[in-house]
Amino acid sequence: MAQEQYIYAVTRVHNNEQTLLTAQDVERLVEAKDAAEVFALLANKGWGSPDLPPGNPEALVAFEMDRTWSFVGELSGDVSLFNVFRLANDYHNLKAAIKLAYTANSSAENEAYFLKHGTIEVATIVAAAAEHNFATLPDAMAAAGKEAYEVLAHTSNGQLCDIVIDRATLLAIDAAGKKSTSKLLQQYATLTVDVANIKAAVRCCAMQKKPEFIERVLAPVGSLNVPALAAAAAQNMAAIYAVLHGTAYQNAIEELKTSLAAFERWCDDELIELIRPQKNNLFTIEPLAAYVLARENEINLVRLVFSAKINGLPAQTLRERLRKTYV
Amino acid sequence: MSNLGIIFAVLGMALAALLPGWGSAKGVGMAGQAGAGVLADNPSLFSKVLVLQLLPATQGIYGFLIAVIAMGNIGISGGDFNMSIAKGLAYLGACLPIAVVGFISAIHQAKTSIASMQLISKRPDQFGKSMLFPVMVEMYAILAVLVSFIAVNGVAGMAL
Repeated sequence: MAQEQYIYAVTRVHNNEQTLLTAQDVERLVEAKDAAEVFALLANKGWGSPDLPPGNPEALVAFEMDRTWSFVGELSGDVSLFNVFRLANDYHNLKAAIKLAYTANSSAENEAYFLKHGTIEVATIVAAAAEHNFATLPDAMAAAGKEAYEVLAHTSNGQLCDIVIDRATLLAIDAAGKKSTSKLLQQYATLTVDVANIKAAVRCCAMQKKPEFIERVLAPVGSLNVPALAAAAAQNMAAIYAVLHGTAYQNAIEELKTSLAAFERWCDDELIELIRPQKNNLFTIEPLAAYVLARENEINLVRLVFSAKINGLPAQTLRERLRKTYV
Repeated sequence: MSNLGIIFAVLGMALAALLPGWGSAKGVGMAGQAGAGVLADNPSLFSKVLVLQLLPATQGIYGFLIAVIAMGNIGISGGDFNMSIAKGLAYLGACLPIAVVGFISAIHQAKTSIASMQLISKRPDQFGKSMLFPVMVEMYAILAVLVSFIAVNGVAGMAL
């Protein structure tokens, strides 16, 4: 892509970065006395629309996510450039569709199980799962869907079905990252895959799973030595730390020793640090990708704040769970 | 072969008009895209954005100026095509500073202008400072046009 192609888009994105939540804005949200005050503060930052049902956090965050994708789609002219972000939604939808098909559930409330902004229409995935014919889906997804459905049909074990699809998700993200010409999207794919593998290894270790099971769970892609990680997960946490030592995740070892939640927070903060240089990038598509990730980050953050306020969590507890902001 | 002198001289004149004009057209176009991006959300910044967009346009003007002076000195409009190869090459060399530096500086100035536009879109009060950055690039185009101006006029007086 010629760099001049994105000058307009990048300028608009940088302009819109001013509307992103700053660390001070987040602090105000944390200090808000209740969810109503959070709504008011967000409205001052331009969140929401008069057409939204009042007092509904999910409707608000869904609206903001729609707005983000609509904005980026308008600017890029081709949202498929960001497929590496959207594939996880497709596979989530595939998982939901298979489980609904297996339970022969066709309730009208099923829409709530599916995510928007994937690369494939939800209806296509639902139809494929309902008819047990996955040929209408891309090859990799069709193979994963077929295998997951058969596993579920033969074992009635939802976890095994999840393992097949989660692994396929990581392989798809890795493939999309490798296909992308953007270094940022490649790094995002690697980070996503590595983090998922580390989390899976830690969980398997905690549940004392057998090596054969762990090897089925971990995706053999990313920057880590996956066979070594799988072998370590079959031993103990110290072995996992040893595998991570000397890798890009060395600094996360201390977080892993604290908790998986602390590790997840470290990963989210790493992602923000990864995209932060894009604030000064004037020409390529990467600031658009960074904007999508920054918006997803702040939408997740707002979701967390709403959840804390609705459940009456103290501000300090909430603060410990917050992630860094992009601006 | 006897016309090689005038051919070199006209080539120099053409390059002086062509390359900086090309660079300026590209630079103003790039800056225009960024300007449109700023105005989409901040229409009140129009005048400031316009100034920044126009900064890369000057190289094209400098190139045009040198080309016109060279045209006059060569005497091409008078139909006199007698010129030594040495003099023709001297005209070509005299035109090269603005041709090359004009092209390159226009592109770089456009990129700096775009960065400055993005700065004022976030901090409109920094317009004065933001304008200084692309103006710094202008200095090299001015040096090049001065060298070409002196050289083109100098070649005219040479008995080559």
